[in-house]
Amino acid sequence: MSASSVRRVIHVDMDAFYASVEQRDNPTLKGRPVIVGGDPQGRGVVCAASYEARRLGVFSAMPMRQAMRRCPQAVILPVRMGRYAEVSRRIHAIMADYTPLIEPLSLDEAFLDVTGSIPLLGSDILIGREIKQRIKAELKLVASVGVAPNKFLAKVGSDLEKPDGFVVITEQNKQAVLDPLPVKRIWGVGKVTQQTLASRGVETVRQLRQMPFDRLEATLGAAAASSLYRLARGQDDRAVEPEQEAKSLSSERTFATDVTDRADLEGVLLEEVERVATRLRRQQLYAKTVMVKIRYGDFRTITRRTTLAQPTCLTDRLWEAARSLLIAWQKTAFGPVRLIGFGVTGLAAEQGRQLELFPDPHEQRLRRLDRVIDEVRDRYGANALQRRHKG
Amino acid sequence: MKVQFNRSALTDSLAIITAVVPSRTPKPILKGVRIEAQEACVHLCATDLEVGIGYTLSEVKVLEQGQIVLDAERLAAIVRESTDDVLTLESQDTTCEIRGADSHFTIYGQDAEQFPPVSAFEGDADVEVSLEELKRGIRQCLFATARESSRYAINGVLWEMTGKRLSLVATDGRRLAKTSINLISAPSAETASRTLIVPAKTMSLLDRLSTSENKSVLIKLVGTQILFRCGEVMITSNLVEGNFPKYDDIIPKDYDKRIVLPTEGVASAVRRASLLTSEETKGIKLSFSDNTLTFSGRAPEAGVAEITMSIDYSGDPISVGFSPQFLTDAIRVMKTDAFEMDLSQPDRPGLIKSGSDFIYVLMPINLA
Repeated sequence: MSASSVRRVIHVDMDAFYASVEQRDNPTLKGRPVIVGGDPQGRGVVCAASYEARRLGVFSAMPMRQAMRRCPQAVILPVRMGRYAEVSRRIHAIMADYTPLIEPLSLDEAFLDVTGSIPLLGSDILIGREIKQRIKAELKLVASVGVAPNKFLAKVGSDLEKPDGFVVITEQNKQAVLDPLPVKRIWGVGKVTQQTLASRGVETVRQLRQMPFDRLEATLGAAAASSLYRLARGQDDRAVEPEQEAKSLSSERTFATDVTDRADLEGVLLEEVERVATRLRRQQLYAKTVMVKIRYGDFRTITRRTTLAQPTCLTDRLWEAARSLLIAWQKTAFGPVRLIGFGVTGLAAEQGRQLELFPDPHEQRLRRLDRVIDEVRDRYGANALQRRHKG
Repeated sequence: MKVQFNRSALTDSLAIITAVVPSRTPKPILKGVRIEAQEACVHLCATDLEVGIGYTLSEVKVLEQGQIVLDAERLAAIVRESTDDVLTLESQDTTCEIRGADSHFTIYGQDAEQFPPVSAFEGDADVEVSLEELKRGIRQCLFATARESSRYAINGVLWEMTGKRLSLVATDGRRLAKTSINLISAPSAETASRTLIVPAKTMSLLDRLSTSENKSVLIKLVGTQILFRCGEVMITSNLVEGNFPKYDDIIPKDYDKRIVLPTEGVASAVRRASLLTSEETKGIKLSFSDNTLTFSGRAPEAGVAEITMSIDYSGDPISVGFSPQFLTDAIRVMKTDAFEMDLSQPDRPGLIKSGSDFIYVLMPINLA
């Protein structure tokens, strides 16, 4: 498929996302250096830094201690992943108004293939501008946007004038945009490749492009060479792949010291089951297969799984299955436990679900119970209500 | 015990006997068949404690009376693989010799006294029905029973008797099949007043009985058991305890969209639309609009199927998702060239009627 000439791709990249969310949620932080990250006393690293902090030399993945030295006046905040995910969903909802073909790369960036939306919504440039403006107007956050004929160029574009950038790359101007860039801006060029190329005197995309293919191949090997050869010319025909449904959900707990008490293990396993069940229900998914994972004190790890007669998202049903797996394991392969986990696979959405003619009254009671528990926890926190298993 | 068996008659009897023998059981003796040689016949019997079966073989020559329990699967395999017309079984205590022209098996069996008793059919029948009619009824409902549901009642088929009619109802909680058959004579008021739920296993056993002659099935209720006798075969079964769902409430009666559809045409369209369904999207969509019915299937990453059919329909357009399996199950057991489908909303059950006896209610698949 030589679709690269006709496709229109937008890359939306939020500027200093976590830090910006914090500054927006708490206006007193506006204009101040904000660092979101791990415990500054421990071994934590910087997850995100506001532009104010970046100007003082603080960057992502830098150890917190170092960041504190460079920027002692910074406001240090813990990571609130749930909050960022929530804001991310709202950004996603805005993007979904323009195309169903959205490929999120993380909470703060995504590709959109808007080729099919152009006849309806005007042009890729209009769509890109509108998304950027709506994120600003509705969420008070700033995004950098790249509009281009493919993913690679769209990403180059969103990065070019960060923050608050808006760059359009076309077949006509792509070479002029790419040529002066350092080779490390090309996907797949890491430190090692960069050094290898530098040792051949290649530091910019233009120099890379001028390298004959066989020499590039001799330097980097066939696969990397053909990829870089095309990317240096702004060619990239990878499709925008819409978000994959989660294929599994799991939760596990590692103990500080190995656990041998069977009742303790059951108690912890129930908590993990609850955590997974809540997530299933939040995402309106039903699980077909349940799995219990056990890591012994000597790091040997085993899993036990079973398939349910009916896909379910009910805590009680999942717990029944998990508990019988645990009991079977205890009878046959018991040993001190370092880690216990619970997971589900074979996930199906509400859409496509076979409806019930005679809802099972017991199942309906369990459903109501789960709904009440979920509501209480949403309002008062995850620890507001705990399930206890009957010994 | 010493008996000469007609091998082909023994093969036939063991084929149905072994259908009752449990494949896994904590009681090893239940994996056996009890063989009891009487004066002029041999009784074979097996049970899983829920369903029992007895078979009277008269194509035998009993040289010495007696009894033994032999592993049913093994015996059936030996008899099936043998090439003789006649096989001789001779037992001494719990060891049995099986001899053919060129073969000699020595089989270690078990003490027949240890075999659990299986009720006998004694006295007059409470109900009588032709085997052919009963089998038609079974085929039109058994497929809809639940498999190993925790709601035991729907693992069986509901029997309801009114006059000389017997309704059979089965459901797995998502669809329901109901059919009616004629009885040879009306049962007593007391028998008719009972609500019976017969296990699916028992029903499928009855369906396996051979209809070579115009046989009738005698039925008798004893306590919490139901007994059947049909020719040389006797079946006893526990009844399923529990409450069958109040099914009458869910059979729609107020539907405004009523469409007559060709059985064969729909069967083919459903099969074709289901070629493009996937594990996630198991349903196919039936879209009714101005005199057209479209069947569509969609499998992410694979493609889309669409089959259109001209129908007589002028109501509001409606699209409903159904499991192709559920549709096929019902279409397969219909005896009519056309059937009626009644609908109201995409999230309300669909109603299918074929002939005067067959009713099928099926819940849609959520398309929203």
